[in-house]
Amino acid sequence: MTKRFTRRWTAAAAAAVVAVGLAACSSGSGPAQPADLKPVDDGATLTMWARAGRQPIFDPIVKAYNDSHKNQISITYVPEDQYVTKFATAIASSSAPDIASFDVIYAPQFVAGKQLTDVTSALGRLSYHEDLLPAHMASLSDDDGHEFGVPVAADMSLIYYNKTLFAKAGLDPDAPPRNWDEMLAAAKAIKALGSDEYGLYMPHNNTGQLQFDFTPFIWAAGGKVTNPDGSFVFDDDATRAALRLFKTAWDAGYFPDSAKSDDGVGFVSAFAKGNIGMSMIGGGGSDAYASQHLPFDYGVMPIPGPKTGEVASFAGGDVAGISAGAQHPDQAWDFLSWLTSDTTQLDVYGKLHSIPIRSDLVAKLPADAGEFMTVPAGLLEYGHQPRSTHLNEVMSNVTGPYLTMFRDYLFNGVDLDAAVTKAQKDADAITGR
Amino acid sequence: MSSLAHEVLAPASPAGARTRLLARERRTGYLLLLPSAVLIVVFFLVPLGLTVTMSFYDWPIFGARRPVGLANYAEALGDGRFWDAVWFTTWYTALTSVLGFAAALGLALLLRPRFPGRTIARSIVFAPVTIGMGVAGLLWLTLVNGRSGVVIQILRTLGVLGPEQDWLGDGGAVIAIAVVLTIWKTVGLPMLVLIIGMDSIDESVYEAARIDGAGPWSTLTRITLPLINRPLALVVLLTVIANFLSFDQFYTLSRGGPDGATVSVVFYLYEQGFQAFRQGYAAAIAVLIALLLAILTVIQVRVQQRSADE
Repeated sequence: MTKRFTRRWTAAAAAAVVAVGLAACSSGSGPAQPADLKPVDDGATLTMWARAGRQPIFDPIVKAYNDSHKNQISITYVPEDQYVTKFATAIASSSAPDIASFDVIYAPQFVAGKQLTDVTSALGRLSYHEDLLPAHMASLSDDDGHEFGVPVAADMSLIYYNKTLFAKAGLDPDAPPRNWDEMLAAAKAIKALGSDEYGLYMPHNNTGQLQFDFTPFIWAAGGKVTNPDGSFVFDDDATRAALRLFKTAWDAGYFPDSAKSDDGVGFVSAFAKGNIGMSMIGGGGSDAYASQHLPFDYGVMPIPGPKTGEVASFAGGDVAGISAGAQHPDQAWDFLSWLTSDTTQLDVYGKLHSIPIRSDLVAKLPADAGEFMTVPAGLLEYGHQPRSTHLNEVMSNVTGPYLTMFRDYLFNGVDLDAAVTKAQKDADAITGR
Repeated sequence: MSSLAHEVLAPASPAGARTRLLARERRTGYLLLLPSAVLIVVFFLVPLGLTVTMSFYDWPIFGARRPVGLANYAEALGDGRFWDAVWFTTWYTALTSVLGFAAALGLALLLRPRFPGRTIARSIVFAPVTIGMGVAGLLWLTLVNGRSGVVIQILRTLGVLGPEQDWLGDGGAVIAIAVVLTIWKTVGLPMLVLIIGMDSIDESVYEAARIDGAGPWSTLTRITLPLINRPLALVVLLTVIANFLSFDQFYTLSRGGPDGATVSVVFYLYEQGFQAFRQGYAAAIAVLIALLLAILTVIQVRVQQRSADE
């Protein structure tokens, strides 16, 4: 009986496994539908998802919309590292929100996976369509030129510099470095202040910071990082030059040793200590530092290129689209068109000290906006994004080619040519799969 | 007499009664098994079925999936990074399990006899078991990170470490920290299981050994350990499985770094499934991990059975 019993249960288990498999195979994701959207404000209740880190921006934005419209938005904040999987699950179970706002780096995957509604024709009717951030719009477009959303937040790569330390080191606090040589010279002067002072900071063990802060050095040197077909370009002169710059700075001791293991914890906090001359951060730093009332004077500068006048930035931030199969697409479009309008961008975003997501509005920023608004806003036209559906595998994974290339050359004694060649080969293997 | 009346009134044959009794017992047995069976189906067989199915597909997070046969398995078997993770996980498991088992046994021997403060001592050792591994990892990160770690700062102040020495920047040091953290976090449970096992040994056995002149070492190796063979086997089995599936400590301490030095198989699976969003490939890795663990467990059980028989 025991054997029969075991056989029966084994058969039942196998049947369950097969049944689950068949059920799993039978479902599929539906295609995104092209839609001729019209803004509708009829009192519908809309659902919206945004990543958790954006709550300080989206709470007041959504409140401003709800206060001035019949439609009402109910927003849910989703942890960043769970956003994509949760959204995929929601789409599969037909419970996706009407509006999805997410990190722009995922936009190519959302577009390729047809998870968003095609808004091309509705966008075309907006007078400022061509002024929406080009890098964000490129990531929201498919190969046929169809567009699937709008930018909703811009976050540019910046270098925060300690003006107090600059003055102490005999540097002009109001004239930050404009090229790599000046940056290295400033770092050297600050390092010379003492054993606990360092010229530069960037977490060297975090793929996110590497993309956001190191990659702009490649762009500023003329590199492109990704090709239009989504493949990667590492084996080029620009990548070599940027790597050489960081190696030079590391070997000279301009970075503290703790940057080597920093997996992102010190991204914002390291600069607040007051002993770092220039820290590669981003727009989010100003809010954090303003609330901490740092006991020293500081400013922001763009990431420079090898020559004066060359600058570059990662065009980070968020985009939003209407989920494929959303229940209220026209009402969702009403929100997105309101969000990108002049009034919202200048008034609501302005009060939040958030830079506009339209290049035509940069000139309209108030005269007293301050460098923490004007410097990143001025970078909008220099913003880049690595655009590839394989971005995570190549540039975000800790075992991926990008971080490996960076650390192999800086710390592990690997020759520069060998490091970039290997990264190129590994990236090609991933994109060519 | 009708057949029904006959059945009711006629005395049942002993064989028939036994058959009915067995049938009733069997039904009761099935009913009692039902709740567990439902749980196993919902939380084990269904996910297992889905995982096995996914492993035969190119299953992106978005968009259409397509069957690829054994391609995911072929890729995994030829994936150097996967085998690096398997190799790291294997020796990390061996090291942590041996040291962890030795620590559990030592603590069990130390904290078993009655002495003042025994309960407090046991509680202190057991306390870390009650927190999650992720929390433990973050706690240790605050102790040992190079920027603000308390332990690091103290050692720097004492001159033991240089001003810029950073353990988390050194692969070997991160692994050592992960081993110590894991043992600190988990040793309480096997210690308790071993103490319970030791408590079940009749005191007269030890008395007889003492009379025969057995010393502490021979008492341990010839009486205590053989007599707690079953709890011992359980402890070893659970420890090895838990260590092979390590993830949280590496994620919280160093994100698998530095330079991929602490990428375990589960970390690699996570990276492929939830960062690269290659769910079919991650599923194939999950199935391979399950098979590796099953083989490891069978070998372990066989070896333990053989040593118990001897």
